[in-house]
Amino acid sequence: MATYEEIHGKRVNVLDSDPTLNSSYEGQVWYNSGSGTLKSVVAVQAWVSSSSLVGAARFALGSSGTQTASLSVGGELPGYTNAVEEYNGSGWSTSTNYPLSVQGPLVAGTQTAAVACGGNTHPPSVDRTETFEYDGSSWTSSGALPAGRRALNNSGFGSQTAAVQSGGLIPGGVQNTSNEYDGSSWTAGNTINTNRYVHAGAGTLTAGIISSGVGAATAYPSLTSVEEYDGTSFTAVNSMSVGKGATAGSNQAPQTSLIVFGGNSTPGSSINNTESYDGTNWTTQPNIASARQQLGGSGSSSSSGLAFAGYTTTQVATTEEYNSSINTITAAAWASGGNLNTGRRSGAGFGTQTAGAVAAGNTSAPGTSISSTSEEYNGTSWSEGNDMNTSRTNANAYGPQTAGNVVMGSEGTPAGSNKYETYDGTSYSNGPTTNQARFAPGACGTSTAGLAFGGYSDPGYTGGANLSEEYNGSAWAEGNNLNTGRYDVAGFGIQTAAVAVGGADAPAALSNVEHYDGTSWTNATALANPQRNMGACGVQTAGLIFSGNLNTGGGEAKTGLTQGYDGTTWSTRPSMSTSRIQVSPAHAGTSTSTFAAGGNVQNPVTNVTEEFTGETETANITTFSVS
Amino acid sequence: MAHFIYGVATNTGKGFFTAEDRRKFFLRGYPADVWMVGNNVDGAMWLAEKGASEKTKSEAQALIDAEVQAAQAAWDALSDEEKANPGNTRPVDITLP
Repeated sequence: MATYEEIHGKRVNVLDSDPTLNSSYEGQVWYNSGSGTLKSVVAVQAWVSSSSLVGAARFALGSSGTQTASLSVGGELPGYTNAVEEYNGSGWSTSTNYPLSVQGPLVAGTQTAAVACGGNTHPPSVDRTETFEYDGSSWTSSGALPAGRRALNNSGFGSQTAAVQSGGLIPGGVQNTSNEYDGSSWTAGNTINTNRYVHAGAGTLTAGIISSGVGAATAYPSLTSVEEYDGTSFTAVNSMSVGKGATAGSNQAPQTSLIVFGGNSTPGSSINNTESYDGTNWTTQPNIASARQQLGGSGSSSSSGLAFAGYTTTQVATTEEYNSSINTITAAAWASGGNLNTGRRSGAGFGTQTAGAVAAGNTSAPGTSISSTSEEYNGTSWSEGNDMNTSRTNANAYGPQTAGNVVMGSEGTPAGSNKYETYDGTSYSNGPTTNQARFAPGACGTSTAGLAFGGYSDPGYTGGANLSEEYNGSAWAEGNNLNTGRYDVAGFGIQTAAVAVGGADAPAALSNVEHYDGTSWTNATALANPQRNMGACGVQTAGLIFSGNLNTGGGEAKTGLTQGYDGTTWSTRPSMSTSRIQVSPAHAGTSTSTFAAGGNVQNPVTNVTEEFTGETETANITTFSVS
Repeated sequence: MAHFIYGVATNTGKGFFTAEDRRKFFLRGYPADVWMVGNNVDGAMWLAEKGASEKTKSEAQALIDAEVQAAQAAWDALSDEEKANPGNTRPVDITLP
């Protein structure tokens, strides 16, 4: 038998431990003398689910960008939308609306420097010529297309100052014209070889590529044909294996390294096929999980893509990431946890996912039945603990399981409480009272540096308090007020870097968010929609909120929506399995590890728990066995 | 082929659905212990493993409607003081997508 050296001309490296891995190690082999094993690192291609769009499910949208900075423009709900959303690699957030409610616009460029044009508005049906440039926050009008075009979707390629539009659809038929954009105006280019629309584009103005799409009337075939562009002419090159119309791809990728995915097969069924292109040949890659057409797509290479929204048998908002990597990415998810012994809502949650606690709360819904009971969680099951000294509901809590803090709440009448109790992991002790009695406040911090803000301060539910108090381990002191009074507010962070999120100011829920720096509150990036009664945890630069009453415009409804916060931007995470309000969170948890216990799914209260685990990456190290 | 399948099963706690389950198929819980599951092999297998009583969409909707209507009736019977509490909002109708 030949040796490795005889085959490859090299000896195998002997290392004390596995090396720190990056993509340059792909395919390399080493001997780990510590474990006595022969190892290699391999790349794996896979689609993994990610967070859904913030807004409504949609299809026939415009899209561009990379996997970690993607842009979604317009689309059909049904009914055309002007909504714009941005993806940051973890979740979606809303941005400034497109000037038109449009289906099938072309988008080229990046999330912070894009150009969009064309598409169709209705009613009446108009194929648009308007062009707008996007700088990451606002849209500016630019030179119009020579003629209106619809069904452009993901077909554009290039940059904001050097983009290409090709094909498209008008009532007269499928087009073969092309146009180049120079940052201010469009100029007619040479025709493409195959008339097509809803095709995939990638590359640059001088090294571009278009593939797939739907061909000419009257058969409207899903195409396999591919054309490369050199800045002057389109040239037919090797075809794809599977015809696909209404497709998408990694359209910020170079001409020699890209993927195209999803779409429809003639006569229109959604497909999940993925193919990669290396500049010469197409290779079949793993399927996307959800077969869909008229989807959005982005990506920067054949190793990195993003598929989102589209039409399965109905419009969807789901997102999938494609990676060819030496790392396996495991998507974030909520899973069921142990059931509480006593179902409750508006309980005070503190601690972490594997060492948590829930105290007090309301064991009825509707109506009020306040509790003083307490339970501890070990990551698997809940066990009864000692009761609190004072029964209450709508308190808030913070700190770890062995140094918990429960502050304010309602003791049974529609008036607030000023009581504060600490928990040492065994029993509760009364601490100093707060200066103002309130219930449904936000709170965060530690036993020696606590913060409580907002809540109700009057029994008439006439409005939220803007009061804020700090605790130094021995007494509560008045701090500067919130800018917006609120109750049912979520809070996370520490005393000198806290976040107040949403809540309500009778009767409307709020989207407003404020930061506290230890001295004063300032307005920060608002939520996409008003929301109250959420669970929350984390720190100011890595926070998480989940569940609650959400108002997307049609009145409040219970939600399982989960959103992450990086100190500047809110973005979606995978939702809880069951929508609910008034959960008890693992308030000392992190943005990647927490729980939501109890709450109100529907009357009566629930005792179920869900646990959140964030996205992880692990290296694909293969250990060779000896036989 | 239907996009979702429906069943009734009680959430028994830890392990009832795992993070891996959530990555394999769509799962959403509703009142009356109704679960809406993505119509693929993994989703159907999960419903079977949980001993779920499979329902049509209209049957599942009827179960949810009954639970919501009972909750609405309970809310309607509250005192005005309890109704004024924003924490006791009247349950809204839920329509399966």
